Amino acid sequence: MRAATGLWWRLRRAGAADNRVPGVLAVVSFAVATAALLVCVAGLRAFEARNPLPPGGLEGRLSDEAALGNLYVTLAWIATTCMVIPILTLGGVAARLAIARRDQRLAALRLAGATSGQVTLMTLAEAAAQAVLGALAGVVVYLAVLPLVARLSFQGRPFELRELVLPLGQTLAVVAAVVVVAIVSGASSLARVAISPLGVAARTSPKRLSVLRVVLALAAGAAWMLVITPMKEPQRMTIVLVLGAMILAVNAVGPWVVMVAGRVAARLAPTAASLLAARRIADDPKSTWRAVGALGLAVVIVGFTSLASVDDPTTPLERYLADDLGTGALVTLVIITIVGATSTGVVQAARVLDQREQYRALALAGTSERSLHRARALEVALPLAMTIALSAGFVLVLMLPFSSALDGALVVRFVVTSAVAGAVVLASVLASRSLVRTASRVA
Amino acid sequence: MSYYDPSRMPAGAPERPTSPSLAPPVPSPAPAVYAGRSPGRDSGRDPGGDPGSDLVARGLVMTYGRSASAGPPALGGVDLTIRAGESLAVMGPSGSGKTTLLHVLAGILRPTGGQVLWRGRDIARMSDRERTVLRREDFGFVFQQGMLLPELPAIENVALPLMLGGTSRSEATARAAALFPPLGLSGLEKRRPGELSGGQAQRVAIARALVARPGVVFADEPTGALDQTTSAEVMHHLTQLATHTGASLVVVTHDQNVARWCHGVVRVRDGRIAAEADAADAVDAVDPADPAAVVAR
Repeated sequence: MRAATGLWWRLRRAGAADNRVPGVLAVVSFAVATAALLVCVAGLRAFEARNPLPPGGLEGRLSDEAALGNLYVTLAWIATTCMVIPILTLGGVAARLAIARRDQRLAALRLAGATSGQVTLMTLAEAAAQAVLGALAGVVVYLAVLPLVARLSFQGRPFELRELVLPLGQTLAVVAAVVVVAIVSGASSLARVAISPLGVAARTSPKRLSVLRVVLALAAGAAWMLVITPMKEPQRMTIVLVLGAMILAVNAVGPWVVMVAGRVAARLAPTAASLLAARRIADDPKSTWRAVGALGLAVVIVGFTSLASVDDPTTPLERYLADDLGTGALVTLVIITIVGATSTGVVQAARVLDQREQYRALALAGTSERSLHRARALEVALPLAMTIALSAGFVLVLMLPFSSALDGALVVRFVVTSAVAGAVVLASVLASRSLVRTASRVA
Repeated sequence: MSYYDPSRMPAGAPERPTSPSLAPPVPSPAPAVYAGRSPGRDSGRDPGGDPGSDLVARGLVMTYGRSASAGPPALGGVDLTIRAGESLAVMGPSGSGKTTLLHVLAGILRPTGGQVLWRGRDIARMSDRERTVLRREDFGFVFQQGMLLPELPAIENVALPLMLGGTSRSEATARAAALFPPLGLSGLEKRRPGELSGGQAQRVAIARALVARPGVVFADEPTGALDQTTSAEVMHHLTQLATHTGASLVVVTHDQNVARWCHGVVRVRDGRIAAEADAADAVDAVDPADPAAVVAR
């Protein structure tokens, strides 16, 4: 064991620059995930503090003001639920990254006599170390963006900094949660690769995702109809739980839809770049979905909140509500866009590193750098455009019955906002352009 | 359209035994038939050895870094002619400059001095962009390990270079499919590279290198990762298919068994051609240390 540990350490230290890049990417991802999570939790707490439950709890008859305050807290919980899953997904992406690029080193360790258990342990320790480092950096980022968040105005007044600063205990709890996510997703992805002394298993035809995913999603939709809709005044926790289940269900069916779309696209792709993009999408629909799924959800939320208007606001508080719904949805979209862009950027960068030899071979054989860039951009743009168009279309179709009440300017703003969010995620692919240039340098 | 049709083999061409007892053929002069090549691209390409289709290197010098501190040049004045349709093995110890030579000939590296003439143009003076197009359209590459894209089925890996060059997908796929039977790859079209053996993957790589019907195929240790039997199989297919598409072949190798499959052999030592032989029989006969054996050109 000592020999293996020594070798591990030496390999770590001797790692070439391209071995360090994935580590840096993983730390950045953990940092973004932690910062986003802290902002969510801080916002949620601030809403709860502003709108304390009246002494009688929810049992007694609430004043209009208290009922409205209660609505704010419920909405904050819903927004947080929507954001937590993509944030945790980003944590998982980072953990996989921390592990995926270790192939050669892990194989070297196995050759040196380390057992598979020892290798697993060392790898997880490394992923956890990166998670701790990233999470601590995330705390710093969170503190740095607080003044910006504090400028947001809800219920007629901006936040105060002290409303948004989390107590140390809760901050540490968030950091711990990120590290746990890293270890759990690291362990689950390690369980899927057998690290032999000769490297990790080669890629074969991808397994088809089960249609069971579709059944599951339909069941969740039915649950929404049957459980929540008949309730006159559903409990906040019930809404949050069922909503969480819905999001999980959408996340289950999403990759399946992406896989089917990818296969169809691969069959029809007319050019080399689109063929490569479609094959990559069909090959790894889950990672494609990770990049675009949350954004689709955010687009739906923004759509409903910005297009649905509160009927005849009478009190000033109700007037604030209409504005605040839009602001809250926008904040959700911004956070999800940042998290989604980070996921996409990191996954794309990792893929270039994984395939740098193939990139070089393509370049030697006369593939222009432009073609390589185009294939990568398409790989993200195709599912992104599809998801955003589907989500925005879904909202607009559902809103059709109320089309007389729809404000044309609001619809335009909604469509533009969605497009901008998509463009930001797409732009994250540009971050790894220099990696492509390095990988495809022929001489 | 198959451009690998045994019935169209030139009269008197060597019979190449098939596996398992693969043996290198008696080296033949440049082949006389270029079956299936389109007339347009063949114009000026004459089996008699039209100099326009020879790949000619003149006085190639390659120095890495600043010459003062970099020690001896990687290439120290290499003259070489690869005739149309000819196969040439480049041998030499590690660090002798053989891979540098291949990269310069293929327009991957720009030499510090000298010329590389291909179809009347000096590759060394071309822009980066022109050389990229040249590598895509006129040259084919086979590497030590297939370097196939793992996401693409074998057939799409082969069709990709054509599609990158602007050929329609249906035509690219048809041309790629035509190469599978002669390479013994029938039925493997839909397999991913991860589902192919080393020899199969290398034969897919050969198909990819030849699908655009290049004038020259460059192979860098194409059998470096294979056992002797598989290696012979791969060389058999590589030389056979290159011959029948009329492509010249430059193989960098340290394996004499591989070199025997080629028409000619050059040995590189310290960046210079140390010995040259017209027939692969001479692989063993030529002692690079013996000055009398060095053929100057």
